[in-house]
Formats: sequence, structure tokens, C-alpha cells
Amino acid sequence: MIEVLGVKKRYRKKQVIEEVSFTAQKGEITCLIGLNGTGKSTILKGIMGLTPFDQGTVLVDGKPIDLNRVAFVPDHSTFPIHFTIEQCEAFMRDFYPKFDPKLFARLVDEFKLFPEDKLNELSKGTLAKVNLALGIAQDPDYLLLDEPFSGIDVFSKEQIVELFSSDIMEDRGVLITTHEIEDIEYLVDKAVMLNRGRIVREFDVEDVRFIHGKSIVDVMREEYGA
Amino acid sequence: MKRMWNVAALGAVIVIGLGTFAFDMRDTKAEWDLAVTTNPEVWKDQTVNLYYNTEEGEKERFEVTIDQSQVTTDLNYIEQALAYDDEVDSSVRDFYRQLSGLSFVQSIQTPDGYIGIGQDGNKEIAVFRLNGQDVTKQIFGTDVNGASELMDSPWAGLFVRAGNVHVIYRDGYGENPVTKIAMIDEGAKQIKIETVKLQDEAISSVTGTSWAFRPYVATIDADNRFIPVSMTEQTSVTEGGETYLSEQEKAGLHAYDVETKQVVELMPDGDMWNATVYEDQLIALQEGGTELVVDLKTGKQSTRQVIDGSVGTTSYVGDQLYHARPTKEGAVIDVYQDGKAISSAVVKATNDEAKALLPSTQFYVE
Amino acid sequence: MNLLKLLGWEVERATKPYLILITLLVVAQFAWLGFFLWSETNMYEEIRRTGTPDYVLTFANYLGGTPFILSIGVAVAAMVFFSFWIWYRDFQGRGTFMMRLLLMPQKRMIVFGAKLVTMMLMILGLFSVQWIALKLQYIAFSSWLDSQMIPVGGSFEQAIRFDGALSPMYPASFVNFLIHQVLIVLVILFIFAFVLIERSLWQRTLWSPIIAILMLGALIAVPVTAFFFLESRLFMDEMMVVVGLGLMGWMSVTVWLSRLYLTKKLSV
Repeated sequence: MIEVLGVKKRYRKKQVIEEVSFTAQKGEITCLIGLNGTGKSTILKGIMGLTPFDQGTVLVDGKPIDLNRVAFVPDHSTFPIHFTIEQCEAFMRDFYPKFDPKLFARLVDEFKLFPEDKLNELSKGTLAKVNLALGIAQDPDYLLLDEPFSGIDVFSKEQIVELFSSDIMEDRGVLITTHEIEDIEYLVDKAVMLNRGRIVREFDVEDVRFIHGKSIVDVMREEYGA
Repeated sequence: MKRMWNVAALGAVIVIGLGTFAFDMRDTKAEWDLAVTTNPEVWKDQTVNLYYNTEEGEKERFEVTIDQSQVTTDLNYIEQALAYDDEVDSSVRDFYRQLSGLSFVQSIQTPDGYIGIGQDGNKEIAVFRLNGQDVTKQIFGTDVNGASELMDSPWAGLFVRAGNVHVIYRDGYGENPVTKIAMIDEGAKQIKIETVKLQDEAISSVTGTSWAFRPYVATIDADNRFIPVSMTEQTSVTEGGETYLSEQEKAGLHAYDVETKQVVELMPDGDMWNATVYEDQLIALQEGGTELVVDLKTGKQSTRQVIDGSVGTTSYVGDQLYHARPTKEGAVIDVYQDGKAISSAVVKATNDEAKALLPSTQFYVE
Repeated sequence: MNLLKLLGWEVERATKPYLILITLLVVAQFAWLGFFLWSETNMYEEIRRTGTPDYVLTFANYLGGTPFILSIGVAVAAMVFFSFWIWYRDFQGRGTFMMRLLLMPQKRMIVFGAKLVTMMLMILGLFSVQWIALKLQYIAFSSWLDSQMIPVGGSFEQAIRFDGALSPMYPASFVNFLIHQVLIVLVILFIFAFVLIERSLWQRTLWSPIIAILMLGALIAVPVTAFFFLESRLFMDEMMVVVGLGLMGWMSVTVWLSRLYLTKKLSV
């Protein structure tokens, strides 16, 4: 379980995250929902230690984060753009002890990627798939995905969504941020809704669906008045 | 692994480059040996300096003692510091440390210890005395009569008489200098100033006064009647219709007579190689190897023949005269005291590297 | 081992600009040598025709030429620039490689170590290329002038010794060479510390570069002021000990600051 406890973050004069606490369970998909600029990416980066929180703690299974067990997939490439997919893989193999070349090969195959392609020659959708493959091949217990669907083509989206329901993702905890919830509405177990740096709602998606007969989008409409 | 080749290639370039550098690095292997023929006592703390110079500007310096031969050129920073540490006697460190904070400093060594005088900007004059391990300090501020004038003037040097430090200085800069003497009375906290009667001449320095810190300074007796000094004279030169004053070093040996308060000429011009003031004597080596000895208490002069011939280099250490004559294998150094040969030693090039340097090497004892 | 691997990556990424720099340096110097020899030979011929030339060329004449000094200046500037760039390029654009480096399940200081070693390798490499190039240039210089029967004065060592820009490259002893390298490392450490402080604060305040400069400025100014105060009171050997301790102090503080910011505060 990832526990985010009372974290705060300020950029210059703006308090981006007021005080946020939530949890994400292993084996579940937790979705951080919010309009653009509500601090979703900041929270993910904060959990990974990429932009340290000003206050609060993050625990993974009760301990400080271990980067061998948690992988982060941002919505952009983290490699220099002139790198080929092969080079990216070589780098990951050098420095990520748990990186699984077989799993990566399988993902490359499923996503129909060409290892000799350079990153700057790829479409946004393909790049998203490369990022995802590099993240999953780290064989993490928890996977943090930042806006995996933003601006990508419909077929890439389908491939990614398919992957979420495959055996590859089984038993892994997923924390995902998105503002395009429709695509994964039926995969999400838990939703955490953010507005202006605060959590406004945290709920079990099944419960809301069965008890109240509402979809996530319905709840969003209520919360954000959109 | 492929990426390590880049590192390896860069490493190889560095190794080759370092090789070229090491090849260019001048690391002399020349070694010398000092063998004492008679009276080894004299050489116990003595160092022979070897200067190798060529017209192309190559330089090598060596220091040879009875124990070892050392290169002193191209020392690294650490060796330099260690050599310095070796050279500076710890007993005088405190004394010079006190002086070194001042903007202007002079010092002498008397049988009673070191005496130094310095000024702190134009605020005060300080007199320091080193007695054993203790340094005492006496301050003369601008409120003391004469202190300001002394601080504004360039100093020629110091002597001690009746326990008081005297500063010979030049009053004011520029033309027609007046040479004055300030007696600094530490007991009464007074400065008494007298003018030395001179015409178109000035005292430029007092022999034996040290301007900067030096590890070895000869001892000069307090209460000498004659204070050996260097003089300058002013002559007017007319050139292209313009007349101006030119100040030059005056030839000959001079001393200030404390009793008559006049500068006397001990020796008119003539070539002199070396001169030293030691306790109560002025010893000057003249052409032809004769020594002129002046008793500074009485002014009595005498001469004595010391060195035969004129080959080689000479230098005084205290009252000892060192005469180094080059030979085929190195040099023979004879030591004279009171006009008599007291010791002799031989410096030899012990390897081929040293032999190669011989023709352009000079030997000094300092 | 991981440090070595990362070093491999860093060096590989620097190879292209580095090779360009070296080529530029060597080509510029040899081109200038060619031009220098050509014009000197012409001039000498001119003098020879009109009378007896009593004019001696030295290698120092060549080294003192603006193009040569400029080429050294460019190399130094390039290395200073690269000390900054080796970090800033990883913060460039949206696809920041720094994020990848920080996400590695490794100690973050290996990133620091790899970049520092890369810089030192590149600088030593430049030294080496220059040492070799100078030797070759001297051979070319003296053999050409010999063949034209133009007298050459002075030796290689002499020319080097009296050249202000080159004398730091040719220290008197190997120990001094190492000490010079330590000083170079110190300069790089200051630059690295600057970048890491600046990059840690940039999201919080626009003043981050100024704050970083002020912090490091204080770190430099305080001991230097103390040094000037002590300078007149200490002997040379004591001074060396103080300077040595000061340098060690600077090294530890810059490394400590870098480590603090890299591990706790850096944000991408």
C-alpha cells in the first residue's frame, strides 16, 4: 500500500497542494482525478522524490520509498530524444537491477515497437507505449502513471487499456492520473478527486456505481460543476 | 561494455599525454658531495649553494651540506614549505610574526638579541625586542614628539647605543635630502632627533640592517662608535639645456661616527668584492685578496693578505670568509678567519649529470 | 561498478562535442603554425636580401601569437561551459534525462561522481592533446626553420617556462601537477554546487541563481577575508598549511552542499 500522509507543496507564491492524504492499494488501480493544474502530477513526482514535498510523508508498505519497487511513467520521454529504444533499454538494464529484458521484449512485441527507432521519430502514442514498456519492465510492485492517455491516438489508447486488464499488470498496484477518465472508467477500483490542491472526494468506484448508480464522470460533474 | 571503450580510449590519450609531459619535466639527477679536509666543526651548519646558469636561461640550484646534496630548483609546493620550515628558526618566529603585521619594518641582531622597529600605517611606531623567547613591545603614538616625522620618512637603518635604538632616516622625499637620526628612548618614551651634517649627500642604508625577514643575520655589537653606512650623492646634470639632480651611490666605505656625529670615509673608492659587519668589526675584501679590517669601537684600520690570486667566488658568513675556487671535479672552498685559513673542504660532482653542469656552475657559501 | 557504467554513458554522450573541440583546437593551432612559419620565412628572406639578418626566432614567438592564446582560451572556456552544461543539458526540454537519473534505484551521488570524473577525464584529455600537439608543433617548427636555415633560439622548455598561459600546464614537478588538478576539481565542484542549488530552488523562486551565487559567494568570501587578515601574520610554511586546510574545507563543503541538494532538494 502507498500511503500519502499530509503532504504540502508550494511553488513560488502558489500553494499547489494544500494538504493531501490518501492511499493506493496493491493489486488495485487508483485514479487521481482532477482538472488540469490541480496538482496531480506534482503528487506523483513528490511520491517519487522528484520534486520533494514541503511537508508530509510517503510510505510504501510502511517504509520509505524503494525505487526498486516503485516505477514512474511520466507523460514524456525521460531519455534524450536522440536515443533509440535499444539505447533506452540498455540504460535501464545497466542501472535498474530488476529490469526484465524478457518482459520488455514481450511488451515491444505487443506494442509493435521497433528497437532501432529514435525517440524523436516516434508519434506521441508510440512514445507513450515506449515509456510504459520501460516502466513495466522494471517489474515494480507499484506503477505510477502520469496522464498516460493525454494526446495519443485511439489505437494506442486501446492497446494500453488492453494491457491493464492483462496478466502483466496482475498483482501490481497502479496509481494513475488522468483527466480523461472515460477510457479507463471500468478498470479503476478507487478514485481520488482533487480540486485546488485538496482532496474533495475519495471513493470506491464499485460502491458508487452499484449503490448510487453513478459513474465517475457523474461524480466529477457534481464536484467540478462541469 | 561498448561504452567503456570510450573511457578506455580517453584514458589511453591521457596516459600518452602524461608520458610526454613527464618526458618534458625537468628532473635533475645531478648529485654533489661535500668533503671536509680540515676542521669539520666549521661546516656543521654550513650550506654550499651551487648556481648553475646558462645563457639559454636554464637554471639549477643545489644546496650541499656535509650530510646531503639537495636540488632546490623546481621544488613542489609542499617541499618548498618544508624547506622554509627547516630554514626558519622557531625561536625568532614570534619576533618576526609581531613585526610582520606592520607596514614598514627593519631589524638588527645584537649580542642581546633581536631588535626590530616598525610602523603601523601612520598611526604608531613600535619597537620590539626579543629576549630569549619573550618579545616585548613598546609603542610610540603620534602624540610623541617626532614620531610623525619619523613615520613620514624613509629609514636607512638601525643601530643601538646606550641601550637605545637609533634610526637613521632621510627627512622628506625629493631634492636636497637631510639625513637625521632619531634616538628612541623607550624608558622616557621620547624621540630625540638630530641632524647629520652632510652636503649634497645622504645616508641610504646602514650595513647589517635587515629590511625583510631573513633567517640568518650577523650579530652587530651595540655601542660601536662607527656605524658602517652606504652613501648617495647628488650631482646636478645638464642635459639638452635642462638641469636636474641625479642621485647615485657613492663609492667607497663610509661610517657614521657616533661621537663626532659626522660621516667619515674609511676607504676611498676602489674595487671591493665583499664586506661584512660582524660584532665590532667591518671586514672588507679588496682587490688582490687583501682584507681591510676596521675596529668599529676605535676606528683603527688594518689590512691583511688572505687569498692568493683572484679566481673563484667569495662570501662572508659572520666573520668567516669563504673562498670557492673551481677545479676539474668541482670546487675547493677555503675558510678564513682573522686572516688565517681555518678550514678547507672540497665539493665534488659525484655523477655524470653533475659533471655536465660543472662549466657553468658557481659556488657560494651563504 | 555502477559509477563506471554511468561514466561510460556520460563519456559517450560527451564524445561528439568533445571531438569537435579537440579537432578545432588542433586544426587551429597547426593552421596558425603554418601561417606563422610561412610569413616569418618570407620576412626572413626579405631581410636576407637586403642585408645580414641578426634576427633569431624562438618557439615563444609562436606561442605568444594571438591565435595560439585564443585557442587555449577557447579550450578553457569550453571546459567551464561544459561543467555547467553537463548538468543543464539533463534538465533541458520536457524529456528531462535528469528525471531518469534521479529515478534510478542507485545512490544519487553516483550521478555526481560520474559527471565529476567525466569532466576531469575530459580536462586531462585536453591537457594530453595539448602536450602532444605542442611537442609536434615544436618539431615542425624547428625542423622547418632548420631546413630554411633560419636560426632558432631557445629550447622548448624555455619557451614553455616563460609563457604565462602554458606554465600552469607544465608544473615543475608531478606533485605540483596533482595539486593543480585538485584546484581544477575544486573549480568544477563549485560549478556543480551552483547548478544543484539553482536547480533545487528554481521552482520556488525566480531568484534561485542569485541565491546560489550568494551562498557560494559567501563560502568563498569568508575564508578569503580571513586569509587576508592572517596573511601578514603567518610565515610561508604556516600559510601553506592554512591554504591546504582551506582547500580541503572548500572541497568538503561543496561536496556536502551538492550531496544535500542532489539527494534532498533537487526538483525536476
